[in-house]
Amino acid sequence: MLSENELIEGCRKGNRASQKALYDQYCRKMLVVCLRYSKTTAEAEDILQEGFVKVFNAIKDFRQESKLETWITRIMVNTALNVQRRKLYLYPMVDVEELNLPDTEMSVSGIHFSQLLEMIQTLPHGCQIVFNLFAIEGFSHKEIAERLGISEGTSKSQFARAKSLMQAKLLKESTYYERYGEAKN
Amino acid sequence: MNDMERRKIEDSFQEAFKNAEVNPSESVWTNIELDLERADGDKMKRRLLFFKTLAAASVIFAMSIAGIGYYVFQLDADKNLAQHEVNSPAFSDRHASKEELDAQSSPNNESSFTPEETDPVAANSETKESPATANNSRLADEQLSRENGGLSSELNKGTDAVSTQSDLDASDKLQGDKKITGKSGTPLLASDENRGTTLPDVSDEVNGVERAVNSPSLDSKNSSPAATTGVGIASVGESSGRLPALYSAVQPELKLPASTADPGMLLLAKLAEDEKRFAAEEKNTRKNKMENLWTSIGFAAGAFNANSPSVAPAANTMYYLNSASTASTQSKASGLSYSVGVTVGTQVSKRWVLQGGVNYLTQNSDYTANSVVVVDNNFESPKAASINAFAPQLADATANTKVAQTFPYNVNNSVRFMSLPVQAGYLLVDKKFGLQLNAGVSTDLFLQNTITPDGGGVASTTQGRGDESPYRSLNFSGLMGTEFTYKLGYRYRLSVNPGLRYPFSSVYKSNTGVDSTPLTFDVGLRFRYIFH
Repeated sequence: MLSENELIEGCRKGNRASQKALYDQYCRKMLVVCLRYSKTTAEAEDILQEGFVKVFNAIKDFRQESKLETWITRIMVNTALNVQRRKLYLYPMVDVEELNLPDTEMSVSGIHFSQLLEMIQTLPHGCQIVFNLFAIEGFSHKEIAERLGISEGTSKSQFARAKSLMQAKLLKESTYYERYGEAKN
Repeated sequence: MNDMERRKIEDSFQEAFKNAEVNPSESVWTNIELDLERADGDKMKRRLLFFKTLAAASVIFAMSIAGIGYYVFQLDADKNLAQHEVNSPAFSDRHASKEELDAQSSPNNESSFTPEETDPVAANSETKESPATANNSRLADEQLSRENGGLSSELNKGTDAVSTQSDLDASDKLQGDKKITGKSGTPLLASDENRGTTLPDVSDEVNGVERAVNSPSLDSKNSSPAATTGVGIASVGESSGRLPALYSAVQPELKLPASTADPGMLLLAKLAEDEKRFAAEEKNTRKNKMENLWTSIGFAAGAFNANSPSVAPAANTMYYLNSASTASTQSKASGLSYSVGVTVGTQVSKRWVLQGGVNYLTQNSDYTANSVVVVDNNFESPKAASINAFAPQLADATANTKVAQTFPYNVNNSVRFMSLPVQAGYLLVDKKFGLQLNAGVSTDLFLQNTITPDGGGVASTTQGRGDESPYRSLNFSGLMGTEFTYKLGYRYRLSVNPGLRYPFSSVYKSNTGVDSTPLTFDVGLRFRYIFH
């Protein structure tokens, strides 16, 4: 088993075995990241493929100032955003009235990640991306607005809508759990 | 939404996705690998494009230089031709004699001159003092008497008179008397500076006159002297239309007449000696300048491309699956090529050179292998597999080597050859800066190949000449290239030579089922020592 530094060195030299080892180590986690930003598994795998090619091409510039996993995740998110940005261009985000939406606390405890993934994937495009960026990646609305080329208000309203939809889905899921004793799937 | 609430959501989702993993399908890595291969191929293509462009540019440059050189050479030749035509004695004498004749009266001097009317020597004898005056006047008298049949004695005197410049005129006058002066009716030997170029021919004429004089069949009436003496003149003045150039390669032979005591003849002889000495010096200079033999040391670096190898299927399916994969990656691998060597060359003619030598050639390539060789069931120390690693398994069921499939690992294959190139070169430019086109054949003797895996888990494999190696022990390659040289001094030249190497047949043995003829582009730098 190669250490992370050896893996990085091997990848920098273009060593195919090292690249494969790096891929094997991170592909499963990264596919989850990609699934969060896409609607289907096939779409997520396309993002994963494009993302790893970028990783191998850019690894010679990786200065190890952050964890390798964090760096790869950032590349995956950027790749996903590039792919989704084309869709956002086709289906531009519009402001949603926040006031009409319920503002209750969101709890995801006890829910399997696959169910959460499914819920996130069913969100509208704009909501899905903003929700991922804000609630999971930890970007501010200002940063999201800059990255997606939208206004900060749009980002906020999209998140509010995403949150509302997620709460509804979570509520539905918890009701099902309470009623039947186990989660779906 | 306040920060606390936000952090809460963030934490809960991050916790939910903390250990989340989903297996991607197998095709993802295959596609990634394909993308990476394509990127590597693009890099190699860009490198190859660079070398191709370099080779094409050098050929175009060579052809341009050759074209310009040829044009300049032609222009010089035309200029020389024109200059010689202008300086031709026949041309200048024609005008000179016409003016002279005009000055000397006689209205009907165009075609049939009488000796009295057209004799410039006689006219000179009347108007100016010269050493030849007495002789000329005597000649004039004798010419008159020749009309009455006194030709023999007159010609003898005339022959003696040829020794001096004025006597040469007298000799022509003699011919003029016999109406053999040609269309111009004037002597064809000029008295100006250009005459110097005609001196060798003058001697021929002198000899001709002498021969004619000594001929017993001379007769003034049937103009037989004219037939003999006129040959030399006509060949110079009329048949060729111009005089041969002084620098002509054929050196005229000057024969001294019997009476060498004459100062004119001495002058001719001196000039002839000078001419010979000058020609000898020029020959020596040319010989010294010519680079007869040289030796050079040099190195070359470049890239080789596997050039679409083909991998033939084997009878055994498992063998094929393993070997085809290894063979495919090993034979498809492109890489870098280095060589160092010694060359000896010789200039066989003005434009052609022949050179040969010995080079030590190394070709390195990296590829991904997916199998290893296990000896005596020792799975703890596997060795890197080569194209022919599967053969013993097939040939002998009791063989102590086994091939095992592994995770892909990266290997470096270093193949070494002893190359003996022989090339013919054509010198397009042979000055301080030289340009040469080379083509030839190289005999490549395979020395060994070493397959070195990255990391320490798998041992490297070295295969030498003979049965254990998948490479042919002896192969032949075609060579083509350009050589740019620059003379650094009397004995040194530096040369840069981009070139191509292409094997005539596959570098792998036929029983491996792999057919590969890698094309190599390299650029060499050589330092040449010249033996003059």
